[in-house]
Amino acid sequence: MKKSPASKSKLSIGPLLFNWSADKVRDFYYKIADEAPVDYVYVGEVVCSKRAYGKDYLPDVIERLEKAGKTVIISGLSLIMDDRDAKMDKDNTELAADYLIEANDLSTIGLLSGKDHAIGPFVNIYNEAALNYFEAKGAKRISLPHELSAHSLKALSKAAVSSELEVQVFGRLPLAISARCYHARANNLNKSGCQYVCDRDADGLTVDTTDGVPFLVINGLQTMSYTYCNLMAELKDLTAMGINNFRLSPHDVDMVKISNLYRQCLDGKITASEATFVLEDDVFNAEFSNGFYHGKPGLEQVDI
Amino acid sequence: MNKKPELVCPAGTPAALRIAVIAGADAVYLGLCDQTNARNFPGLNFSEEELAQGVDFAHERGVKVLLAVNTYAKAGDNKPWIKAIDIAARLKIDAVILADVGLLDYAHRTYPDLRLHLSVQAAASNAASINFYAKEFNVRRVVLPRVLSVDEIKAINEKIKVETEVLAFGGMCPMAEGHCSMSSYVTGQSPNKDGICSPPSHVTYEQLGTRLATKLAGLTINNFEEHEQVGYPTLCKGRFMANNRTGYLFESPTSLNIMTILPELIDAGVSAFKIEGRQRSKAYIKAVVENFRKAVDAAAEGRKLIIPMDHLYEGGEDTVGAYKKDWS
Amino acid sequence: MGINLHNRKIKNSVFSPFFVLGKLIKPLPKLPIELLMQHVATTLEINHPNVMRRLESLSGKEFLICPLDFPYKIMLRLNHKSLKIKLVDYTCQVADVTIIGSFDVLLQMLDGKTDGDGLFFDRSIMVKGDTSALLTLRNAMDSDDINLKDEIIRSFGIFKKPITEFINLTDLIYYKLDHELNDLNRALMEPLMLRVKSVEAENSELKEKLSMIEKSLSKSNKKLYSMSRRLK
Repeated sequence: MKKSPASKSKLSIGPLLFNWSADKVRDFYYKIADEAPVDYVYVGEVVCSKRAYGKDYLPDVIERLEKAGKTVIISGLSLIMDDRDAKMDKDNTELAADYLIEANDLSTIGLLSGKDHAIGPFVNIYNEAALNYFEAKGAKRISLPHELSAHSLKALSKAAVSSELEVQVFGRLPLAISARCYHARANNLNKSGCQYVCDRDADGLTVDTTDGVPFLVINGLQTMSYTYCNLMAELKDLTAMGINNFRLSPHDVDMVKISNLYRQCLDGKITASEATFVLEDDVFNAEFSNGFYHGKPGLEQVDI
Repeated sequence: MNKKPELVCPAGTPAALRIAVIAGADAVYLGLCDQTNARNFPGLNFSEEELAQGVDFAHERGVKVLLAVNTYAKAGDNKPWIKAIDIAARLKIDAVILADVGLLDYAHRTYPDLRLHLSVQAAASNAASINFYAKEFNVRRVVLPRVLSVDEIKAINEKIKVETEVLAFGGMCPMAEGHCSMSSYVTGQSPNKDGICSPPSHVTYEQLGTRLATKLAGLTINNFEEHEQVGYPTLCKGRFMANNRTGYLFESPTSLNIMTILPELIDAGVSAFKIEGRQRSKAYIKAVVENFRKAVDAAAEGRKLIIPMDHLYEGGEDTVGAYKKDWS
Repeated sequence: MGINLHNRKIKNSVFSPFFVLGKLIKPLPKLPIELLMQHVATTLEINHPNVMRRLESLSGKEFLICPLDFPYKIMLRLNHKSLKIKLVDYTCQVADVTIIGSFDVLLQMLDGKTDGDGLFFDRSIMVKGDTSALLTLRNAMDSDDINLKDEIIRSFGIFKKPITEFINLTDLIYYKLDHELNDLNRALMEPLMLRVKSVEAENSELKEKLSMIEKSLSKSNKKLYSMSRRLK
């Protein structure tokens, strides 16, 4: 599938946030490499350093993605607490000569300072001063925090000097990270003896209120939104404010089809409502939200 | 030999400041009446005039004043935050507590003599991050996020040159601070942007027979039976269902209390202990500060002193949280 | 989680000195009591401008204070920079915020002698309505040093001396009454408390057993898991 040369906007597949089996991950990225109309693919473990143990598919995956013409970016951990976390992150940064590394913690930015790098949504960049500070340190791609409203995104886009800004437009939103593993806790285990139970829920484990209202999902150390962020209808606005990079966060659904819908919408081949209609009807049944963008509670869906 | 650790106490209001100073605080921390600080509750905090009076009151008694400007400045409108830092410099505040890199950069460049502390809201959870803040902005003290164990704190202190401060008593945040948007997901207001978590404007209490339901933005956060202690409907302290089980998935309504491990933390190189609770009453501040004064003094002499404070714990329970590894 | 009944004074006991006071004033018309309370409120207003400034956002809000041991409810209305107090019948229900508790506890809260959150957590007080308004009121009242006794004495200007003597006398009577009524409360409550204690003991025993079962369950779970891994 070729992307329209007219469009400046780029699509990316964000780092896989869930603990899928090695085979499933490999199949997923091979399919993305071969079929998805995306420009960038982020790989690497963001949530929990324990998960990376014994998984050696990354070189194969990267090779396949690069062969297919995708630019690979390696994402780092979002919470670095002990030596194991720190080592994993340091190992990542040693690849900085060959790949763009996405830092999700200040320590990683320290290690990458002076070299071109990317910054992920877990680094708190809420204003122009912070943005320009990180640009001066070598940040070339910045994926902005999820709770920012259109007002803030617009101001940041205006202030960006030497970096490209990215916004997540599809997928559940990471809301919090903890030292405590909630997946283990929900299974009566603790983190040190977690038995990797987070591999049981490919899109996270749903959390309901006692009235039976689902509103969060847990994903190991991470807590996420139950609703899937969908900014299809806001793409036009975003491009108008000068934001041209859009992140699709991977889920256990047909991500190729989803990338196609966003691509077609960006290229003006279908309207946002048509694309969302197909998304809701054809791809999977989920609750969508765009509240953060509109300065409202994140779980809300504002129809525009 | 370690220096005697500092007891850093909350001052949500001028009266609380006076109480904390008299009860034995080494330093008090406070915020202005707006979204520039992480306890932006209605009716709380200081006007510029009250702040000046508070600084005088504290300084006359040899107590330091730290100004928390620990939210993230808004894009397109950073004036309130810049103003807060300017006020701190003008009023000779002993240190400003910051989290936002943009503000750290501003404060460091504009007021090189102003002492900077890194807020817990920055969640600097490892030595490399802390060294980054120290090198870039001359941060002198880091308030550690509530995700680290005593051993991890010790390991960090061996690799850094700046002071560390830990949360000692009060709110028990189970998430890495400054990286949590659960509150804004449900209510639209967050600690990072608005300085508030689970805002009271979205809280309702419903008495259903003998049961008390606590709600946040219409979502049921908890149900308390008649015999149970009640908790404020903070999102992460609710009773929820997952895996066909109902319970406190994230954390139960409980108070952090490290009195039992004060000597170990001093041993791990901690320089200051922070009592949380700018939103709590004078009576609470008085009791907690007096008790911790005694306990910290004892711990500095190598004695362990434990004073029970059952009636002050949220949910009637206390925990040492992540400081002990088995919490996670 | 145990209920700490043993060293906790029964804060919501019905037999308090205010219960007796209530019985004494019940035959009196509302007006003089209302005037007295309004007088105290106006004094607070004048003496604590900073508190009033913090209350500005609450203009128009009504707080219904329901002391359990008093024959009336107290309606506090905040107008721009002023406090208006009215005594209302016990049937009155409508307000932005309702606060229910014993008179003694409510006064201690006003005086900043006790922690409102703690009282709420252990259910010594109950609240309904606009939580934000309630919190604003609490924070504002707590932001200055308010000593009700001193305020009242001060408010009577030239009559300071006799009023002081009167208040000290009522303090003494209050203390004695409180003491004796506590004995009465205790006599009534003791059998119930013993029963609660024994249920609690039974409860914690059961909890312990349950946690032991949970532990062994999780152990065998782990074993099963490692066995199944080996089988794979």
